[in-house]
Amino acid sequence: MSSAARRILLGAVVMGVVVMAAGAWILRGPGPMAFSDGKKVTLADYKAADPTGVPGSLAKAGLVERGAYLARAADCVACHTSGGKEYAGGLAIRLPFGTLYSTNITPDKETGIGNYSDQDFLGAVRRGVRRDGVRLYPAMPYASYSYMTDADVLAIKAYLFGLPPVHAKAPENTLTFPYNQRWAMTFWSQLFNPDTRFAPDSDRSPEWNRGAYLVEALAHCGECHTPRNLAFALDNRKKFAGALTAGWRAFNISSDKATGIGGWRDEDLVAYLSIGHADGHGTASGPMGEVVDHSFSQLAVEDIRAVVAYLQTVPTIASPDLPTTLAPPAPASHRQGGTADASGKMLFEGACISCHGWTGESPISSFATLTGAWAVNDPSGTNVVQVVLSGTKRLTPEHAVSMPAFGGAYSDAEIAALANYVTARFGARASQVTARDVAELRKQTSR
Amino acid sequence: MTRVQSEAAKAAGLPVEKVIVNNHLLGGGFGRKLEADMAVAAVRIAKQVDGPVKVVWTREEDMQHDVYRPVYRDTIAATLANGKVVGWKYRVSGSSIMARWFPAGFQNGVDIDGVDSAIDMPYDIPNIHVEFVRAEPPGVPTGFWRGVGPNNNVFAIESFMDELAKKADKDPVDFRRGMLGKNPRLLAALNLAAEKSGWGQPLPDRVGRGVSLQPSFASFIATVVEAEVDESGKVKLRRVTCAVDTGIAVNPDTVMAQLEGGLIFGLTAALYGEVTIDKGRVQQSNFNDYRMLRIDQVPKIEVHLIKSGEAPGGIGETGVTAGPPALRNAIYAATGVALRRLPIDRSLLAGKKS
Repeated sequence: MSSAARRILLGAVVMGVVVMAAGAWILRGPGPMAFSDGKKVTLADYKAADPTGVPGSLAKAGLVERGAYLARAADCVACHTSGGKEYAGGLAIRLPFGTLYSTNITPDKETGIGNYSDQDFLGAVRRGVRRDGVRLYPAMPYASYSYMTDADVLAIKAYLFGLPPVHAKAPENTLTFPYNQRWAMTFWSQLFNPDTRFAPDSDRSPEWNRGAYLVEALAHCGECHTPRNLAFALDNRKKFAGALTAGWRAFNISSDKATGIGGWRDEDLVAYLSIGHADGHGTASGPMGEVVDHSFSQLAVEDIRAVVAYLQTVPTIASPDLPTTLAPPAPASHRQGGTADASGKMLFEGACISCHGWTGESPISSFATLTGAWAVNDPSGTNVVQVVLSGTKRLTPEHAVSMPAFGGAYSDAEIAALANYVTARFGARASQVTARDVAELRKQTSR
Repeated sequence: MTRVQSEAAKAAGLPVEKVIVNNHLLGGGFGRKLEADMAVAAVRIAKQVDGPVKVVWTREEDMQHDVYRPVYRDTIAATLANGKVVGWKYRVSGSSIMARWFPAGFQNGVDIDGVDSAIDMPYDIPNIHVEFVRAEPPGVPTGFWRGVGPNNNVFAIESFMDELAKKADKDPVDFRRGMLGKNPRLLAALNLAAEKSGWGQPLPDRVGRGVSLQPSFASFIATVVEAEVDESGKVKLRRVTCAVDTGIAVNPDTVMAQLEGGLIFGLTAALYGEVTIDKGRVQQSNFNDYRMLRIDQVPKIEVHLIKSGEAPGGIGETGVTAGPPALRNAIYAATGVALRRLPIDRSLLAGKKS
């Protein structure tokens, strides 16, 4: 090979590496806390109150009790339970390219994690590598959990190992090629899981840093609320701008005043996270309802406040498809408002009216008030369809009014007509949901 | 009451004469209250506590631990000659409620309720054979439902009659008329219902009329349902016309009310009344997943009473039987889809042309 050819080849290789690195850099995007431009320090160097671990009220608690709290904050149970025994896994997570089943994380030696050493457990939770060396799919939010400290991960392990072992093998995944190639997750992790611990921002308050730790390391809010890129990794350029997950729309939780949570009062956010409802903002349902039940409703109030303090600083990013003003209550008379779609109205007055009223302000319970909720103001109608299909059950406060599931007895066409009527009557703009859309949404729900 | 008394006595371990049953105004029973299980539950609880016991089930408990109406499978074979049915072989397979509830009604393998309105079919057919095959659904207790055996048999017979009429290339009403020579009361009802319903007059696209006849409980009833099927498969009831000869109508208004209520009851079941079982558990629980026909879905219902000096027939159950086959035949006329199952599966009707 001539030296010229060698130079050209070398040049091409260098170019290729540069392009790939640039591509990877572009694809990877900023980290979840990159928006905060204060000085990041290691935990060891952070001199204010420790943002990790458990709240003050549990400072003297034993390892297992601390682990229980952290496991709730990380909401492990939501995915690792499927109707049966808690943490025994088997939940079907439906993806466009097949179904994933969550694993058994009880200490059963055969089907659970009973044989995991501390190192094995740290590897699975933070690097997405199973005990046998096989890669996990990022449905397990290890890219978020990698921010957790050793102490916190191992406290969770201690808690899980104190649970009764359940012998339950999860069904085999049904992913199609190439998504069934687990080894490819090595590259995914290289790119998207930096596997670094939480680094506090020393220019921010201790409360903010506690909130950041809870939101980013444990609660993994971004896994649903941040849009994903082509490689199914979180795109933090659009941090908390909202996304569709498991067939439900996780709304914008950036500080955008109109379409995010920037216009919410702190008390409303605290209420929404603590009990799944804030007057004038609707009621949490679907996956967010589960988050409230299993996780936020059981956290210390100072932790909820820290989460709110952190959320309020996430940069504004608007959701252009959402209206900038929410619809006021609908007219009290059924003759006014809504659309001319007689079938949607007929269903509404037959099955919905007694709880939701013609105005959308429930005569029964503020939990059933539609006015102000994003679900009815979202012109896609996605969450209206989902709530109608699956219902919603709030566990907190006790005896909160729940909505039953209507999906079994009503056809796709009927639910589409109903959603279009509801968004027209109670929202800013009518949805155009079709029977086919409803059929599709039925398939996407995890169960 | 005797049944409540004897079962309560058994549960309490007392002689029958020691049990006093105080009857209350019980509201609708519809067959379910022929069972005494709620009284037995009260007695059993009463043995454990001091003071009076009142048993109230939630609707969910009631629906998921019910005594269910049986599921049947019907097979019919028929021979046509000169536009008439000349041979008829009908096999009813299903649960025998009588065998449990009233064993005298289940003799030689035949449940007298299970073949009601099948062995006494109104049509003049020279060769007829009816069989009953007892087939109990495992683990599902079955009991009576308003309308009882004829609900199933009239549905099967009248649905098949429409398919035979089509085979014979005859109008469903004419086809039936030709075989009612020995049943003038039902023929008169058919003629009146056909006239009052405007049978034969043109209808818009996607709309059909269906007819059904029944001799059950010595009341002779012809029913015409007019229904529309939209492109999504949704069924809209437009009109129901009923002509009834129930013998002497002691209280004509009650006869009409019973038919109107019974029709809505039966049509509700035909459209929505499905109970499914998954892993041993009933999946329906309340009105959100077990629908009722709502007031704004109820069509105009006309009931025409035929003056008659005959002995009064039963009327309380007949309306339930009347609606489903007539609706099924209206859907057949509107879409060409020959439904063979209840409740109506709207997904089979979706996208069908008129």
